[in-house]
Amino acid sequence: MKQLITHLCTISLVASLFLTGCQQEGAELRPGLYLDTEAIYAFAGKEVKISGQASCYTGINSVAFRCEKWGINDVTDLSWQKPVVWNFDYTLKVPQNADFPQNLIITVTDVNGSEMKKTLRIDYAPATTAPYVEGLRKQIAVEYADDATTATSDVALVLYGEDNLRYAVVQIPDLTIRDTITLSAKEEKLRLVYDFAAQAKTYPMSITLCDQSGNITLSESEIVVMPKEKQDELKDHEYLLVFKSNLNESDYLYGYYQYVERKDAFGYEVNVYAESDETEFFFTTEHNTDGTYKFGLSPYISDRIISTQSYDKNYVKPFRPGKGYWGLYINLKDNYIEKWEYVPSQATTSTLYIASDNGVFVAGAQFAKETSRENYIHQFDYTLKAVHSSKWFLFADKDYWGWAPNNTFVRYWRPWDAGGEIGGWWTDINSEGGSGNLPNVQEDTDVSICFDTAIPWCWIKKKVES
Amino acid sequence: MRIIFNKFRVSLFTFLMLLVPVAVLADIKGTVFDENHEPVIGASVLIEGTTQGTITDFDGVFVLEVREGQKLVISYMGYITQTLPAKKDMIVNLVPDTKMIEEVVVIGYGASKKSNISGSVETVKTDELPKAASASVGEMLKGRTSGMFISSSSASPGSSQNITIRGGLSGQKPLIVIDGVPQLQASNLGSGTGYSGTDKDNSLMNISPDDIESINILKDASAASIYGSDASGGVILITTKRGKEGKPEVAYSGSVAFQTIKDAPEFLDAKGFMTEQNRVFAELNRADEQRYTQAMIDNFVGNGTNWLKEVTRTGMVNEHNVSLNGGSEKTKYLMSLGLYDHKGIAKNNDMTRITGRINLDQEFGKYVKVGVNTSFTSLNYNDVPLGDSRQSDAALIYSAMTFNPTVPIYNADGSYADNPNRPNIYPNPVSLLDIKDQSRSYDVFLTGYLEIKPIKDLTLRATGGVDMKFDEADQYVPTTTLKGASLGGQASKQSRRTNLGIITTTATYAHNWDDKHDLSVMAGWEWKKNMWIGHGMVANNFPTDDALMHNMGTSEAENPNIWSSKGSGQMASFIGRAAYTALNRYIFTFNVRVDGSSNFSKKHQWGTFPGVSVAWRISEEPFMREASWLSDLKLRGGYGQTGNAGSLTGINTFYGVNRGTYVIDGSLVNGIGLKKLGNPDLKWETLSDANIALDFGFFKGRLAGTIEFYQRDRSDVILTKSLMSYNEINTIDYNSQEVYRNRGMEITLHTVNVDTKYFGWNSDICFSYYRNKTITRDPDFIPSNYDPYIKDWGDVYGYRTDGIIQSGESYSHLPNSTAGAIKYMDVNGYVYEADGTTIKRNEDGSYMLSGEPDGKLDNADLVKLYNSTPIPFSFNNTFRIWHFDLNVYLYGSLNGYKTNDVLYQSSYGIADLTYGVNALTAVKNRWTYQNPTGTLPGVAEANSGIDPANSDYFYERSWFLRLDNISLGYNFPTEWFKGYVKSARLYVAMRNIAVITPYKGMDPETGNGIGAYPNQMSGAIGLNFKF
Repeated sequence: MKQLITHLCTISLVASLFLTGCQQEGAELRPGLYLDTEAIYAFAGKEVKISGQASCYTGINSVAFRCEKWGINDVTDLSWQKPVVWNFDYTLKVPQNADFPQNLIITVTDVNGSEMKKTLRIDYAPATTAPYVEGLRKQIAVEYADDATTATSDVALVLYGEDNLRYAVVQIPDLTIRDTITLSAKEEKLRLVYDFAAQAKTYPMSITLCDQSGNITLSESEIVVMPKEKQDELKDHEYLLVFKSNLNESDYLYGYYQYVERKDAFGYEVNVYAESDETEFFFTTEHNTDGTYKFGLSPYISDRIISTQSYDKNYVKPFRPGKGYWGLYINLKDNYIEKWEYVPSQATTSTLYIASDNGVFVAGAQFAKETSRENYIHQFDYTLKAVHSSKWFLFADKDYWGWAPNNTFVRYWRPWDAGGEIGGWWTDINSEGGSGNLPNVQEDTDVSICFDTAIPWCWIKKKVES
Repeated sequence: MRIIFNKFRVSLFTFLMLLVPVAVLADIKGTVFDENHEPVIGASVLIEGTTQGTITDFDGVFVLEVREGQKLVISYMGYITQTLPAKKDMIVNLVPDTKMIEEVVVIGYGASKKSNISGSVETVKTDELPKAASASVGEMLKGRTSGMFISSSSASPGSSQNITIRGGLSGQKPLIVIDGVPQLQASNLGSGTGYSGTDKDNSLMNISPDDIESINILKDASAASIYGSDASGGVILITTKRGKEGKPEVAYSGSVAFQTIKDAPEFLDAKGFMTEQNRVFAELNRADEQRYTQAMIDNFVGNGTNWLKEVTRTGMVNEHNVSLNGGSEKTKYLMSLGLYDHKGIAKNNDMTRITGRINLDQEFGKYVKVGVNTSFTSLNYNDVPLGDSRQSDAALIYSAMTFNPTVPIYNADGSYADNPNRPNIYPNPVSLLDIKDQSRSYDVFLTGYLEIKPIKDLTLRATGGVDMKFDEADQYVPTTTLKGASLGGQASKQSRRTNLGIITTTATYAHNWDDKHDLSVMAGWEWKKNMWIGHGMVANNFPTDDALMHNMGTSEAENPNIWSSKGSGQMASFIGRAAYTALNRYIFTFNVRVDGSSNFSKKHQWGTFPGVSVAWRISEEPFMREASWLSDLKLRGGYGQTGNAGSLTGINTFYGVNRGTYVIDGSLVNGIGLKKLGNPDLKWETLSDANIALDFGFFKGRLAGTIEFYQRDRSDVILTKSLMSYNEINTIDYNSQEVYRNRGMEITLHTVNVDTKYFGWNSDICFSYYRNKTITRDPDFIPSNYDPYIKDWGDVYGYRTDGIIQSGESYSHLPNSTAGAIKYMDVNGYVYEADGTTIKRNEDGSYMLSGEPDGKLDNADLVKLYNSTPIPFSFNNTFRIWHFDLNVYLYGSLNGYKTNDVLYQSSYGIADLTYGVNALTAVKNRWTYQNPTGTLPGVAEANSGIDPANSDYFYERSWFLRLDNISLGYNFPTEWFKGYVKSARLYVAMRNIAVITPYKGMDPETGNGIGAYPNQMSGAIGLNFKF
């Protein structure tokens, strides 16, 4: 027994000596250091990113970045982790009063004290990116009250440069203004406060910005002095209406204002058709305008979409998407209109019929056939009678009432309501639903009833003698 | 003169007497030991030629007054009688008489002498099983029995064992019976989150191997039918140790084992990773996206972060068992306590098991005996996420194998570093160690019996048992992990209770007429009920990680996942057995069991499972008795039926209450919906076994074994049929007309190669061969070239390949495959009708094949590639050298084909290198224009549109020979301890030392994909002693 225990102990001792005597592979090798740059070119105040990778077999204790002349001694202590690979992105901040050239020494030390050093030479090079002005719009509105004699601008701008800035020159030639502002930092604020006469006028303005490296930027704008815009309280309307400003409302008995459906809070969506590139759209929440446009896109103060003003039309921009079918999404709160090419999915170019109890078109099962069609727009020329019992009408792809089940009868209708104008048109294949309302007329009137199956939308236009 | 003569005669007599040695009377003391060096109590010690003698006491000691020169005859039942010269302090080592041992074998609801068994029953010697670093008996039984195949689901601590007997045709696990009571088998309790640990062993893990006395495997239905509908997968009978008459004996066994990773796949180091990523970008014509410059690669020192090393450690297993047993003639007891603590090689992965047992047997007079067996098991697991999920669900080992090696573990701010090539997709492997995954399982197993013998030969026995399991699983995924951050922390708490109660009453009549006729008749009744109830919750979005999963109420999740369930089932059974042996050589056994189960349909409530077997002990025939070289020859055959009760939920139509499943007004709502259409005609599956075998023994057992042939058919297979799609539920279970067949043979050999006083060598060889086939199909089955009418389950079908497509080559049947892609072979085509699109059919409905290439790669080109049915074998050697014992155990399979999943995943997903996913070093040998002889496919393979897993390209032969155990023990001479210690053994053992295989994947046996828990090698030192 004693001998056995002795033998076991001997074996254990020999084994432990063998194991501890083994050296870890590569322990004698120095760490590895890779830098993504071989030299640095900078100017005073510049921040330079140096990326690299340290590696070793045994574990990295620290990575140090030193430049004695500039007082840089940044050490990343990795003794808590001792990784065998370490990727770094070091930001070298060149002092403001830096002199060149200098050396940046990067040192990697492993857990055994082995070091790998590399030296990066730092040479001077001017900035290559031009300075710029932030916050300067193409047009700056300066409003004045009705009884004011002056209008004062107050525009806050921020000036940026890769290198420290040197100066900025603000010029308003029409007022013989030429102000030079001395700058020093990479980021500076500039406030434009100028007095203008309280009358509608546009003043060209320019800002010249220069940095220490000699890079110069010229920025131009317009100061538009204008009466104060009146803004309606922003509401989450139940719906909006859109109309084409190049059309006359008085020519239409129905459908001049197209229904725009509310999709989400302050957000509305509609499909429209622009006959040409010049077709202009305005949004409104009310049916009638009084000659001026209550809503539209204002190009000035934050490009307001919904505002009331008594400006001349020249100051209010319509939305001009270009010729074709468009889907439009308008957000009142965030002030933007989004458009996309609308591809109609249920549009038809097949013959449509119109059904009504007007007596003008048909009574009972017979429907009236369309007069003409252009692409998706079907036109029905009729005489609208002054007296009729009820006023509903709808469009269908059959000329009779009886229809077979399972998608053989397509009809276009809209929810009937007393108001007559609210809501969009729908495509339907069953007997559910309502119909559109024919407008009242005092006398028999020749009209063209048009239906665009792509949108879908209907309008009734008076026929004008040519 | 006369006086002188008389004086002379007296003088002569005296002189002669002086010459003759004086026969001195002296007390001789000796000790008698058995083959395990345990003292033999009650051995007979006689002076040769006399009737004088004694018997050994509790310590095996005898004292006898003998004369010098006399011999002693020492004998004991089951051992070879020895005649030895008497001497002081004799040590007698008895040797078992294999011919005389009438080993008693547990056969279910009773026991029988081994010689009288006619069914297929195999006994495993538990004392030879390697216990060191083996938590479960299942793990120890690998390869120890012919016909039983055991594979581990994973190499992690406590992982489940997949046990199949004779090919596993039934699809059911074997029934495990402990001390006559079937054990409750519960499924794993999962966490319900995206991460899960290993599948747990819920059955054999609950019993300490040290508590086991014997294990018997009932392999065929003639033996297993007594267990009826639960026994379709075979039966494993475990008998625990019981108290023994004698002074109290304390036994201790303990070991410490260390484990290290073995056969981990080799992934690229940092330099290799950077180089190969650059190359892959170039091969994909995306050289402008290369991230690593040559200067960066050249300046790299070291191998980069070894993620597998960061998440693994040296595993350690600590095991200690202590037992106390003793008793008197009437009372016998055994108490044991065990601790098994396994720290797995993955960090934070461990398992602790505490077991306790009390077995008590008490006789009241001659007629009444009662007994109680109680055991308690507590299992605690700390799991780590395992599996081969990818990207954000990637688990520990998968992440460690594939994470970018050019990245440190932590960022400068202490947060876990991310893969810069594709951030927020792949979790940092070390971060996954922050996941807390704890599960606990408590099992109380309590049985008791009452045995009455009112009259001679009649035994009435009632057994009651209850098995109560309580499982809990908790998990918390913190915000320091990628997944946890996206969920705001995720917590899971699951709990389940399962109970099994059983009552069995039997009456057994056993009588032997003059050793000529032996009859045993048993009848009985059994009732059992099982019940389960559970609930769980998974929630996320917690304000802090600190509370882990212990404050679920603070979750801000709108709809936490909550579940609960409850169920029960019961079965009543009638059992009967009749066993008759005539003249010790003609054996007839009949079993029958009638089960009535709540799982069966009303039309087929009761199932009858008969089994009959006969045996002829040829060696007992008078004409064979002269053959002294023949110690045993028995021919036996049997036929029986078992069933599959399983979970026949298909008999009932039922509705499910589901959460968030139905859509109303565009919103998901909870509701009740039809879940299953019931089939009231559904009945249980039937397994019919036929078995024929020859048991033999030669030269007094020096060579013994069994050769066995069997066939098993599975009919009334329950399958799922598709209904017309317009039905709300479009599947239904039904008993198909498919028949599955399993045929095989088993050979078991035991040899006593050498048996001397100082050296002994025994060997055990097991060999199995089987095939599973589908031999009958449903009438509407349409065969195909890859799914024939009669199908061998081991057949693997796929496309044949012929290397790699070279530059300038193109193939019409591989329109998307360019240079570097695998060249799949177009070997066949379909025959079309005149329209050119409709495929012609044969009379049996199968598509007609032209036998010629047709310029298309489709199902017509699928061929039978291999048969991967294993042919398991084992070879166990036990050596005895003086006081040393040595065990060398090898096992393996002579056949096998397996996909090298690691290589397949790395190679097929080579483009993932551009995402920063590491790959095997083997990918360096992929095809490129610069390396046209590369044996692995290039980047073009991913665009081929064909999955290489459906071909032979990554298949490898996986036969193997594993050196599984070498253990060397030393049995200390008891005289060293001067009677204080009865026996002591010190041993060292090594497990899973080496494997010889052509398979180049991780391991031919265990999981083999990227992310599989690496296999381990163990080294252990242990000590057993008794006092």
